[in-house]
Amino acid sequence: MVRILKNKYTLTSENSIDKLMEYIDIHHLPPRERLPSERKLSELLGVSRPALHQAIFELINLGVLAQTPSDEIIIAEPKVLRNMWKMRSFTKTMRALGLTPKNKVIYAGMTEATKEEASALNLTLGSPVFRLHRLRCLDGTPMVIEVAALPAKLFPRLLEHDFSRASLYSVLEEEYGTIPLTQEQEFLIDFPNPADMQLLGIDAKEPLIVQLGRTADQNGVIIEYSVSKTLGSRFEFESISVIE
Amino acid sequence: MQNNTPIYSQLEKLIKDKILSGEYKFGEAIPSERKLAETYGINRMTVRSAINNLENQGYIVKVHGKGNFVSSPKFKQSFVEGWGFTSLLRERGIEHKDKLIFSGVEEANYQLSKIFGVERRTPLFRIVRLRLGDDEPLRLEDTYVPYDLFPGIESIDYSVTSLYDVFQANGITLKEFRQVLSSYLIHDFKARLLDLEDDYPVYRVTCQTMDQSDRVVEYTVSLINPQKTIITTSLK
Repeated sequence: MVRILKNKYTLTSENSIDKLMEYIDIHHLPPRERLPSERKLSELLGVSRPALHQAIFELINLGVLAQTPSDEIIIAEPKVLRNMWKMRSFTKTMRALGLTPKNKVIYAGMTEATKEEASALNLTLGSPVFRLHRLRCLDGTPMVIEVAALPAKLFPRLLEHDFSRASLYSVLEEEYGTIPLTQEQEFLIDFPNPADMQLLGIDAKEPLIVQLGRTADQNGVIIEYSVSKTLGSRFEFESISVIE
Repeated sequence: MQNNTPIYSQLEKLIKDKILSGEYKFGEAIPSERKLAETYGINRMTVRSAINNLENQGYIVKVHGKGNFVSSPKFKQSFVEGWGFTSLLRERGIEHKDKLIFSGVEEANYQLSKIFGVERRTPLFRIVRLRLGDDEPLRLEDTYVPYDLFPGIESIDYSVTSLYDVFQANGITLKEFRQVLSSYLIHDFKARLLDLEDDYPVYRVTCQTMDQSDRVVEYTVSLINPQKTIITTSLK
């Protein structure tokens, strides 16, 4: 027989979170469904109002629940799971998940490399780069801001394309014979700046997952530096390692 | 036939391979320097430089008067390849320490019973640790392990022993790690432990580890201060 010891670490909030998760699961509450009132839930779950309140905010933090602009608590859309080990185009990945991706081009043009871009692309400050600033939407909702910079001398005619329709990687492959093969990424967690808030339609307290990526082609040449800012409430990133 | 690789690095590789294949087991002594010199017909000095290199790489630990012991689980290297945590503190001379916040037996609740694929109220062993680098808090790790996974689970000092070392020492061979990274606004006592303000955005990483028979042997939720650790990955 195992003796279960009372301990100091388990918090009352953990119990109420667990009860609330179970309630959502066993009732198969679909995305966007409203949660019953706190008063009713607290009775149903046998949890005090303050503990329930805390649990609701924890589940919002975890992306299980969401708060509407009119302060209603609803079941959140499940987070989009992106893999962290395979090169795959955003558009293709999202289509495979049954989502409809759309790109809006905020800026596309030949410009001068910033310090950050130059250093990532092994260029000198101010070297010509093609910069593509896109807002990626899923099912009509803006979710990712992506700024990519590519050395202009490798890809001199990118301006001719409309990247709200064309895929950048397909153009590189078809027109230049360049295959984006590997990418080194760094992940950061940050709050949005005012421009991010406006583009994504979020407030200052919504965390973003920021990915800084350096892409290399089939010859190991660095062809792209990109900064992606993804809504933390809607995306998560998965890595599976198997030991042979 | 001539092999141009110096003998000491050949011996180094040989011992490393025996550690990785499990022939030399974690926590056990490898043959003495004298024995190794004898077995391969090589100089003691050559053996010593191979051993020194292996010690520097963390594969073995020298214990004075007792011999050279296997210390590194093979797991660590492959883990770092797939998913790296790079400390932003000084790389050299950084001193890592774990502070044990809690360890004890708890019963599986609804969510944990689903994660482990066990009945509710199944006993689980919980270990909560704060990982420090140069005395600054880097991440908070909340780990669950099936209580019956191996005997004596509660008598180990988890502030000095790595869980994966303990797994290996008990014959548990890990096969698969499923990790999920998301963002999280840290608050209350967890924020205090990591020395952060309330609602500061941090990395939240869950790790579900399976052994060779696909049994879930570990579930950990880590909250990581993004000011001090950077998560990197390679897409191929």
